[in-house]
Amino acid sequence: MIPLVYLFALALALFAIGLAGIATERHLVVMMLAVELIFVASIVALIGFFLYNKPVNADSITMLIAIFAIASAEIIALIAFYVYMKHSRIDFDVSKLSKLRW
Amino acid sequence: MLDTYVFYAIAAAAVVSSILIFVERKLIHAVLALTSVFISSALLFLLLGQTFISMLVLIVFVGGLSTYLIVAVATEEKNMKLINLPMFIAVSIILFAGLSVLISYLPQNSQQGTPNFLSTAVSAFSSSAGTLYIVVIMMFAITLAGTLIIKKFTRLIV
Repeated sequence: MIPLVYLFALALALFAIGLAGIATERHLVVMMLAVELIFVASIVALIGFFLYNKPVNADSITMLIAIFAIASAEIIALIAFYVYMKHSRIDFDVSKLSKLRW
Repeated sequence: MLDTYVFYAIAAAAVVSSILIFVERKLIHAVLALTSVFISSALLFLLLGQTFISMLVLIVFVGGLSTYLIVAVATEEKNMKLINLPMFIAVSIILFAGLSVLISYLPQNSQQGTPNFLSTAVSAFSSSAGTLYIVVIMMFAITLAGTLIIKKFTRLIV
């Protein structure tokens, strides 16, 4: 059986890489891919919690499906953004998206 | 003991792939690296004995979202380099043949007891879930190959 701390270390590594990617990357699509990475890290941590604290039941499956739905919606929004910005010749550098600023 | 080593391999693959997302310069390579992270997480859940969740991750993330992302990115990228197509087709056929032989030699009855990697993998691949795994991976590979072929023919026509 894999110790729980190993799973948490993996989830933490994926979360840290994703967060560092969001903080340092300026390409919009890669930033969204980093958000997906954070979703994967959260799923790994969630499965670790449910495996080692209580058995997997309907609540955990519901929570997982909610995470899947959020990740799917994010990917769909990303693809819509990507196709629109590609066709409108908008730069993917988020520091140049002046219309989205306050 | 074997579980720990397999976990190390899967974790290393996941972390290296997640770093490759930000290192790769082409967008399609970043998306493929993210797909590798998804596959690694599915293998990790299979290692933990959660076959259903592993299958869910494989179907939703790899079969659905990654395929959609790859199609969107590959059809929009103008200067995407094509891979060696004959080599790709040959490797796909060899992989499919190898997996088919592996599936045919696996035992049909799953072992009862504590879930470890081998018994979970054997029970997953010997039941109907194994067929579903193969179907999802084949659909993913076929979609990837189809996108590249469409891209090639579109470039030839236009």
